Amino acid sequence: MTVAWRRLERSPWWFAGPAVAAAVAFVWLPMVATFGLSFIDWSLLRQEATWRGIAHYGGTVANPDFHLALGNTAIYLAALLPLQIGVPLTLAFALVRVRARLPGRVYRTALFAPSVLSFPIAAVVWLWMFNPTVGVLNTLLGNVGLAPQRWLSDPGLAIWGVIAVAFWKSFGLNLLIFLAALANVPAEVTEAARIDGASPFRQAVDIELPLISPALFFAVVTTVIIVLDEIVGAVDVLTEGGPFRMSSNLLYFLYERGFRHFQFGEAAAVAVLIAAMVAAVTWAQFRFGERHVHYD
Amino acid sequence: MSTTTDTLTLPARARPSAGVHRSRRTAPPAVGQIALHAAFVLACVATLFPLAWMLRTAFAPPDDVFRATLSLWPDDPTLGNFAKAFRLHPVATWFVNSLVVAGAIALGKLAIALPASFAFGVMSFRGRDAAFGLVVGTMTVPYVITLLPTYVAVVGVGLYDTLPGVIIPTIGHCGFVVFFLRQAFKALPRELFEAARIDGAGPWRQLLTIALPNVWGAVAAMAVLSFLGAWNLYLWPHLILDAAEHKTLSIGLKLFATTGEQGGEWGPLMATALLAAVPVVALYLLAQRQIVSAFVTSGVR
Amino acid sequence: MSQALTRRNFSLAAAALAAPALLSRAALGSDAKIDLVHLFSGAEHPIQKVIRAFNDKNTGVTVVSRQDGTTYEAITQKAMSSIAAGRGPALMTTGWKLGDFAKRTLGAKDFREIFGVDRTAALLDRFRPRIRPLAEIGGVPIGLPWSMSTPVLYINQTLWTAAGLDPAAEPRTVEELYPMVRQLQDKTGKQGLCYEVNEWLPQAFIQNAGGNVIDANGQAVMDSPAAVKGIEAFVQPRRDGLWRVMTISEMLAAFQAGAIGVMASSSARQSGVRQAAGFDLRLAQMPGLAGHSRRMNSGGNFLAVYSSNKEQQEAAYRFMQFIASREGFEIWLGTGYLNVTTNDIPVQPGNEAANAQLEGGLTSETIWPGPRGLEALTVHIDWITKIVNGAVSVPDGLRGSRAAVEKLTAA
Repeated sequence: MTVAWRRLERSPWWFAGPAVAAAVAFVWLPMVATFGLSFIDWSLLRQEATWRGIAHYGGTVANPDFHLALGNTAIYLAALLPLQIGVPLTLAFALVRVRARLPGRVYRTALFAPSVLSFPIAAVVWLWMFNPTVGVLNTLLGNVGLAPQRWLSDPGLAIWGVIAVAFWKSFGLNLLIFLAALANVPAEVTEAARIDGASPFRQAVDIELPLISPALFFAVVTTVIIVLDEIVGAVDVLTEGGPFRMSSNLLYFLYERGFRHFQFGEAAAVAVLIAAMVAAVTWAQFRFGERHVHYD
Repeated sequence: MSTTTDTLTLPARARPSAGVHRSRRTAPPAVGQIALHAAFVLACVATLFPLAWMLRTAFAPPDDVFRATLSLWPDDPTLGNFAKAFRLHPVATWFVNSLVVAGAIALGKLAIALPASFAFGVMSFRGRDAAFGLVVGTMTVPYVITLLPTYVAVVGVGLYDTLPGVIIPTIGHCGFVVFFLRQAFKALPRELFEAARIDGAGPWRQLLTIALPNVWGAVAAMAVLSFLGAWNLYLWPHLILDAAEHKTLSIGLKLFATTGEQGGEWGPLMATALLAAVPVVALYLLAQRQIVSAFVTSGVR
Repeated sequence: MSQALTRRNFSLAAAALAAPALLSRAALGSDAKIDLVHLFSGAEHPIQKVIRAFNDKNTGVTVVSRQDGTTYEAITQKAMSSIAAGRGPALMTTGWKLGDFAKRTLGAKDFREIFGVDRTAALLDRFRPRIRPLAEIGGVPIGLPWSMSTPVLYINQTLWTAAGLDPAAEPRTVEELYPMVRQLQDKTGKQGLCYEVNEWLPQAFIQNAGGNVIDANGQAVMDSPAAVKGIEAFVQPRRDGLWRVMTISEMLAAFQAGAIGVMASSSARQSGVRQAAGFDLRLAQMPGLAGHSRRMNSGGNFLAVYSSNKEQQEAAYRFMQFIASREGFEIWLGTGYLNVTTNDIPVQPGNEAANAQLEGGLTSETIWPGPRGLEALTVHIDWITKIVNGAVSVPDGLRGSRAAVEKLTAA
């Protein structure tokens, strides 16, 4: 009996079991359940289900609000990807060429500071600055003779307000990643390039850039995650998706359908559609990554 | 793959200060240096301005808050906004809730992931790779698709509007921690465990006394990332938590911000935002090295 | 607004509460705790004072304040989940506009069923006869109509007089108001006017033009010619450059900072705005439209009971009795809501205009019908926002709203 107990005690399933159980209970089962949910109407209060077939899928694809959310998500991506990569990259290349050590560290600390905050905190700070009559941004505009903007109330500008906040909060992290990646570029390589007479710019683009491509890839992946997921915290605080959905994104659309109006079946269909799109984007990322990311 | 594996498995060696003083690169001459410094000072001012403005508003009395001014510090600074904030909303409770939630999630994820990653990385048993795939495969599943049924389940089980309702499902998403820690365990030399096994140490003993101390850096990185990630959670707490006293800081701030419908309380709101930012910023300044190393090692592959 | 209990008030209140308390004490166990879900922030809000005053009476009932959000839509959404989770509120401040939704979907209780016809009558008789039907859905009394507000004009009197306008001017129609606002804007350089962009203030304009948002049969009629006329008048100042459109919270911040001359908003805000404003504040009745009689709407909330538990229902009754009493209601009037009870309480200073509007007769707020009424409401607000921002013409926008709302109410 003691031997059997010993064997049981050492069983690897005590170790791995909880993680497997968690994965099944909180990820795999819900995933399957969402599929099932997308074919019915589920009433939270009455706990009853009504079969709907693929009506939710058809309905969502035809829903102009869904198109708007989709378009907005594309705008978020198209704006944030270049910003989140281009700006920190330029800053990183410039920062490594600053000779003085202490100021360099100060700059790095200052530029990374917003990244430590959460999206809601960043959003609240900017919400105040964006106030159209007493906010500091319009005061600044007024001082240089420009007309005040409605910022978050302006249907055309609201999404850019969110983009500004998202960029401000996240660029510092990428800066750090790129700096660390640049630090790993072997000195001999840059030395050789310098001896060959390459200008700093050429060094950066031809030598260092390819060598830090894993970090670039990481930046792309995290930006996509921000746009699809984390930015919701900022959207909810700044605009609640408004005015009339002009700054909403796919996840916010799902939140509205599922948790503002409790159309669970419809929201499940939206979730499946979003997941399918994310899978496609992820696949594209890795295909692209395979070809362009260099590992040594 | 040598460089990247190194940084991955032995994160203590990542040098966060590196990359700033690379004198071996072609650094531009003095004029260029001045231009660089000027540009960076500008960038830093622009980046820090919103935080400075938040600071200013937090200490400004009500009539100064609404003045159209650019002064970075109020003429008559006051602590009144902080007192008012606490009277308007249960801010202190929000702090405690955030602390409890983030701490429980970080601990919970580690508690589940450590034994599992040890088993996947060091032990060998039938079904190991399949189980590992099952756990790590969850990293590829987009968050959205688990949201609704988890919500229905939490409501059905009666955990709606409770902190465990927020904590437990979040702990369940620990695939990345398992993946990362398994890498760390795998990098440990086999001889370590051989010696222990000969001595008769069981797997638990091996994990706790031998393996764990050697991967402390990785564990710390995961603890920090999990804690910060949980501290900043928004959507899930927003859905599950209801009463004002149960909210965490992130969603409490949202509640505070929408109080605007009943009259703008921007001074107290900025004071609350400041309070919410201070612990994280302080933590960052104190533990800069470790935190940066944590972010970096999980990112640089 | 003094909280001092005079001897007379105290004995009156004690007498009023003693009888039923003594009689039904047996029905309650030891301290019964009930949740009162509401949307008011602040530890000093009158709702906290009312709750404290009630709890201090030690009737065996403790009311626990639970702020779930800051808008009716938000707390109603949260109520759905909490009811499904078995943690529903015993009492909730239910927006008038969501009355149908509350009864049909959330299960707000029929007072006559849970309290009996006599006790219901005893409770509701404390309220003015014209108000009582507003808390009935389909003839079923489901709420205590304690919070009533109405749209009024908030005038920055300092700017108003600085612009050379008559300090006692009370524009009867918007056609009279807009030139005054123009003068204010031209003379002071501040934004002349700001309106609330939601479903409520436009309802006033639609009704003042002789139209309706939802008619007596529950049909969406917000695209009728009269309604279009009303909304055209609503949007006119934006076209004329007198009104830079912003959210309500932005508007409040701006007005309180003295950056807007005149705003139209709920009378319920008046004590808060008065406190925060550093200038002279005057409230005036909401102007109507020339050539039409005014039909101003009301807003606010009523207290509904959502618990199926007998003990909690009893406890809720106790609390509502306190509110309906003079003592309780006087505390409540600190909010800026109107006195809709038969209690003889003097009009709160600053609330004269709103009170006059009440005396002149208020219609109910639009009640959004059907199990998806909550969604219909938000869709309508979206369309109004589009119209106000100039993204769509007034007739097209109202037609769009009607089509969308019809689809939802028919579902």
